[in-house]
Amino acid sequence: MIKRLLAALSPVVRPELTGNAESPEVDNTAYSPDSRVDLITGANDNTTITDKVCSIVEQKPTIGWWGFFLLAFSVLGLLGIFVPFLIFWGVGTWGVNNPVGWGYAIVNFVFWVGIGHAGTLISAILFLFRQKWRTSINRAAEAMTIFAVICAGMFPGIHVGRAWFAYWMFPLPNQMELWPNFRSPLIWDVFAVGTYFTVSLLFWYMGMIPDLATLRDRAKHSVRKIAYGALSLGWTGSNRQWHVYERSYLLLAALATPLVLSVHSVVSFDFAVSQVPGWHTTIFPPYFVAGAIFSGFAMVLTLLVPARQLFGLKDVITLKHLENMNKIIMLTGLLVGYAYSQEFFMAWYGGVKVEKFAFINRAFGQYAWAYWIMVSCNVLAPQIFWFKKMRTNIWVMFAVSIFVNIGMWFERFVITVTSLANDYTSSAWDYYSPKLADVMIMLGAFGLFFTLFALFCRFLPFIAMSEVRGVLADQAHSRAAASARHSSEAAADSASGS
Amino acid sequence: MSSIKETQKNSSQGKALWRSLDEFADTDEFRALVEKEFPNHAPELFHSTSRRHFLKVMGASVALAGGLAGCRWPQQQILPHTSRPEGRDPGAPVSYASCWEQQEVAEGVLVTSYDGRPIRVDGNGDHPSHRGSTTAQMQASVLGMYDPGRSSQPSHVTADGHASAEWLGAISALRKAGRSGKVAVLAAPSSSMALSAMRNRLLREVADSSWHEWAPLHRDSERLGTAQLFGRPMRPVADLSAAQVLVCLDADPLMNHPASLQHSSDWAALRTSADDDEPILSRVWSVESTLSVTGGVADVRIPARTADIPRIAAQLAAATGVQLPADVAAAVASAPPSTDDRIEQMAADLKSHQGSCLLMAGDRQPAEVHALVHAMNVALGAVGKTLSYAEVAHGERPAHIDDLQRLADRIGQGEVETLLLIGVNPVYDAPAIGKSWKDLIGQVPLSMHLGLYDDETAGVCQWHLNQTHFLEEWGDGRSWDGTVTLRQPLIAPLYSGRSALEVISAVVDDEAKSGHDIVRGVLQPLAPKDFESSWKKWLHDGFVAGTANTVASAPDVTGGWGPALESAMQTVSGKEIVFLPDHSLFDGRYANNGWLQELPDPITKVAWDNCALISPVLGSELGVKNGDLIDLSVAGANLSMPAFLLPGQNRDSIGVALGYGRLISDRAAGRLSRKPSLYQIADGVGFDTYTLRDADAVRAGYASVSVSRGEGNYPLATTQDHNPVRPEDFMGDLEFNEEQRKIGEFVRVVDTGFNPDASEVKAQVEEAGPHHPDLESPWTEHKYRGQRWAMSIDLNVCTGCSSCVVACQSENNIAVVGKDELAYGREMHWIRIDRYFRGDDVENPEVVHQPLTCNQCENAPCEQVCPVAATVHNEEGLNDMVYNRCIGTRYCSNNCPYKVRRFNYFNNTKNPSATEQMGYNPDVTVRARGVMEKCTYCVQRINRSKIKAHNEKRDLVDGDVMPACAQSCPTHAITFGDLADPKSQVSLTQKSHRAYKMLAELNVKPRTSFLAKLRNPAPREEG
Repeated sequence: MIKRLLAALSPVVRPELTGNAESPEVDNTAYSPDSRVDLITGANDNTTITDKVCSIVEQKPTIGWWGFFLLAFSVLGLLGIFVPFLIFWGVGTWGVNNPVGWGYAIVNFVFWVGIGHAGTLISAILFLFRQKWRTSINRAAEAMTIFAVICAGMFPGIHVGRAWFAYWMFPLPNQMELWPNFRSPLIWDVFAVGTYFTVSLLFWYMGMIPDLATLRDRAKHSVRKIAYGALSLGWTGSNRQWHVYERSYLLLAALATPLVLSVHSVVSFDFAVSQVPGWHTTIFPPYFVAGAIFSGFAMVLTLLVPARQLFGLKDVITLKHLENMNKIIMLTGLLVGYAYSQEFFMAWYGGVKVEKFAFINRAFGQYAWAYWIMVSCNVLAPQIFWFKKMRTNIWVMFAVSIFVNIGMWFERFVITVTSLANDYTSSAWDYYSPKLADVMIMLGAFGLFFTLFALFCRFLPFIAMSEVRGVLADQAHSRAAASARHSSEAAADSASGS
Repeated sequence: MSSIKETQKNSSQGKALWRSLDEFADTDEFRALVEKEFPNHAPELFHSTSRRHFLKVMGASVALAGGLAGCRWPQQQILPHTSRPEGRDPGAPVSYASCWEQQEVAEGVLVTSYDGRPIRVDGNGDHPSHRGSTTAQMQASVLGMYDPGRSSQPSHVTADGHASAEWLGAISALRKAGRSGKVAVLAAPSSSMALSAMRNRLLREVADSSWHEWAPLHRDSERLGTAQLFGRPMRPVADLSAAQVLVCLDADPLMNHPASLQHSSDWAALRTSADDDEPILSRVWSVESTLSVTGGVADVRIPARTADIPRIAAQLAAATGVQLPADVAAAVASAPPSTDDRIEQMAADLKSHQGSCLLMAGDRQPAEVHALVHAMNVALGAVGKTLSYAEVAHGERPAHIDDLQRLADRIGQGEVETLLLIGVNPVYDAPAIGKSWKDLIGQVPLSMHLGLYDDETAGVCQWHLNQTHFLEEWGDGRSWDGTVTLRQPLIAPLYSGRSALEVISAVVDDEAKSGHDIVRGVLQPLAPKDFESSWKKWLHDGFVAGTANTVASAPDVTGGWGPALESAMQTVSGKEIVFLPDHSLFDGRYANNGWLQELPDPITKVAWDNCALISPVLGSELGVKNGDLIDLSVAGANLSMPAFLLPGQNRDSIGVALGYGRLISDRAAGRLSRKPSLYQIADGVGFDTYTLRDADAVRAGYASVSVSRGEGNYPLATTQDHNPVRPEDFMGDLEFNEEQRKIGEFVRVVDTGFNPDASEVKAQVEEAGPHHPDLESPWTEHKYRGQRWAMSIDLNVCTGCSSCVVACQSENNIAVVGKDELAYGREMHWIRIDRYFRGDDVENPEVVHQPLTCNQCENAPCEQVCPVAATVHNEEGLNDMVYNRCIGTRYCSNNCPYKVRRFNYFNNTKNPSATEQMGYNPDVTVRARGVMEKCTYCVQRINRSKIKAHNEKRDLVDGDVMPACAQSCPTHAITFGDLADPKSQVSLTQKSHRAYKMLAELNVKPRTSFLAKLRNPAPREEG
């Protein structure tokens, strides 16, 4: 019954058109020392991959897609209502006060920037590490990064008191002969996030060119032909073009790699460079980066686990891919948990009274409820991935990904709000609680994210077909080599046997 | 035809007419002009060859000769203002002396005016009675004048309900009433000699008239008590600078006293003698039910029920063993022996400090306690040293409540045809005498109300007349020591109002006199010859020198009040409710003043509301926390109020502030139908506790109350920790957490004795802070050439009175945000006073106050993190806030460890009324929304002083620059000056052994130092 409902809602529910039925879940997570498992399962070859991925774009969108898109779009509409309200009436529409000058807006900013890091790690770092399994997920993950950075970039623009002057943070020559204050971490953010967005966008787009060309070649309608034709920049697939493409891809991957570590380090400097107790620690850059990767992978899972089901891509985004992602989630989750413990240790070991208080206050003060949500979601939930059965269970991993996202949001909330609410001067202590506009704009950002993602699914190739074909080729070679080896061994056996 | 010349001569207009320039050139007048202008050349010009050439040359003269006047535009003469009358420079401030009065005592003030708009009230430093400081209410009075909620015109109710009226109609009604007689006047008591003269004239000239006085917060007990003791009422003029031991029995001399400014200044002067080479630290004892400002700074405080204080006074008298009249001694002896050894210690202190001690009793104590207190003062040798006595004008007056009774009786007997209410609001703040005041006034055929606001009483009178504010009128008053102080207007009445003097004159005179003439007439006898130059001098100074009337010796002590004292000591057990003046609104008269409503109470830090102050023990018994409603029942009247658990409150006493629950826009008589204006901000704020205060409570100052838990919770807006103590903390072990203990670093208090040792104090002050090594800088630090502005704040003398907060608000155009925003934590005060409780005993903690402004850190954490460089450091060490560059990221506020930065979350100054705009200080920007603001050390005052010094071709000297907070502080706790001058006050105080910097371990290098508080607790017996 649920299957039929899901089938009805599925964005692509006519696999008969693509010639492949709903493929069963193949467990390719087994580890064998003498042979590699197939990354792409099922009887897939270049044609089927192309058909699978392109059909998502080429078929008419189903009710499922429309429902998802319209829902996301209407949530995005909340932004359209509350952001003008905020700009028109003032920051007081939110719940921020003195001493808590930063609330949901900065929490959301850090949350979304963090999420973006997973996509870049998959795209760039895993490329440099020659992890072939990244090819099934890198396109969608990098798209997630772009959209996450867009959502993130909105918040610093609207949270300032005079949003119409927010451009003063950019080093634009002006009649006041004033540059921004380069000592401020917020300016570093401008450069870091700006660079990150630019490089990610270039990398994602450049990587997509061969696939856009595929879509152009298959396009039947003139509008599509022109659109994909323009976007694919005249790609012909010649040897020389592939050569240049591979070189550029490598270069951009190399450029994007340090960004994974630097961007969230710079965002963490917003906190670490200040002197607020609970913020002013050197652990923040690696801690934030680990947390970013942690939450980013969780968001990738949240997006891909349903997507692979609904788009019929279970043999391209296999259990092996998901298991690998879960392993990374566990690793970074352990890093984050370790960082929590180190914060406490250092606060005690360092002996600074106000620092000790800051951490005790986090766990037992007025925001203890937020702290314990954070710990249970971030530290406890991923521990379930020690068990292989759990790592390979779709429902478990989806649930954990949701918990991790919630936990990572609360981590940023705990860091931002508890430290500000109870810092040095006890007479200034106060409590921050969000007003309606805080919550609505936060939801609106999710609406923006999912709207953009829905549009991405609809119009752009969900999977990097050209790279997956490369993996298929490798698979075929190693299979052939393995079978050759087997047959030669069999022949040797029979030869020796007889 | 006649010649042209003839035609010209015959012209009826009297001006020569000509039809062409040729004609004109030919006239005699023109020739004469040319000859005058060009005496040497005239002949040849007129004999030149061609007329054209001639005219070419003479063209200008023709034009200028005035002969073309016939076609000129009409001439109007304008005069440039090159020689201005003195004091009329546009944009330059001018100060005038005036007089502010409250509770029948005048204070001299100096009012600063820009272009004819008074914008600031400061103290008049020349006034002999008072040292140049102000109270918060004095500072806020300028907003009171510009209050858009003030009544702006007279109104008159007729049979058909029509409302607005003209002053002419009112004046004729007043004169008519004066002629017909049976006029009763209910007025606010005043020390004004002019008003007194008008009163006498009215009583003489208007048949069957009477004059009554009413003030809800009376000082009758002191008058009646001294009358009992000395045979005539005397006013005690205290000199706290000589009182090494001060005992306050339910008294708050530093805040709630007409002479609070003098007391504060004197007490502080003695307190700072703890820094002298032979240091003396006073000891202040306070016995009271609710923490007052004096109780907060007292060295030893005993929380006791107000009802029990007469007994305690008797016990104290017995313990000191002073000589008393026989019946009094008998009454004292009848008091049960005290079980509290603190009373013994109090007595011991008094005995060992004879001649340098002083006792004071509060307004809520009965007259007999005042008599006993003064008997003790005389016996302990205070007179002539710490105390002198002054004559009281109209000393034979009855108590105000008795005066009200008299008026009610007259009304009841139909002896009043016209009731004139001047500056009083009995419908709101007077207890019912038989009937409610609404009904009593309704019984009078003609009732006329003169007041600043169209208030509750105006709502039931037939006429409401808009009164002038003190800044708009002529008047006079006498200060605490009797000095005659003058009041002159700084601006013509904004709404054509009239003063009380003028209204009385309208009753008695056929031609109503102006206040100016009345005051001059009354003061004439003070300078019989050469009045004009004396008058000018008095107006310039603000007072008449040599009119103080204190006497150094006391009249003889008489008895006869012993039995009355004995009966005052009889009390019933049970809970009492005490009616307290509000620290901001006083008796409610300032309820429409936004600055005072938003000012957090010095002790509770609650703003915009009053609440029932209860002990945490009582709170736990009732099961309430802050804001929970409790039901109070006094003699049949009920009121539900939010509770506030206040440490230090006596557990059987409930303190409530008066002055809230106003209804300024109430139109009870259905008079004016206009909707409540948004400017009537007092409406709906707080709870009207006058409803619980009946006539007995007015006499006694307290009443028996029964209290029970009510329903629901009322949100109270506080600016500081919302729960100063959690009920669960004090049952059993009171363990304040780590952070509370850290308070000792911010406000360093050293317990010491009468003669503190400087090096011990210094060691303890350093010990209170965190140990850190000397912080060396990794880079070359900026060398300051020129001034280095700095401030030091002496916590030993800060009383928490909050005058500095309102002074800063007045000087810097700081917006009022309202209760909801304040509850959110968005108040805009640039200076705040942190109030901490210290100690383990929640029923009797110590209170410490710390005023905190921007410390102008040399290594400012805020400057480093602003992304657009909107906050930068200047060459004199000030942290400059550049409003027009700020985009409002609020990172600077996050990084400020003191949290002294304020952000404009909304547009707090949207659409100010026309009068509020007049009241802004033009030297300071009015900030828009989305920008950060903070204390600037009054940079506008620094710059003005520098300009002035530059114009006078001299350097700045210490004391030239005074920020508003420093200027207004009654105890002179705030010192400001130039560190580059090694002899400046601030340089010396920053080097004091008591000096420390707050959060210095963060290496922010603040420019503000604090001086540690010294406390002189009574030694307790061990065990």
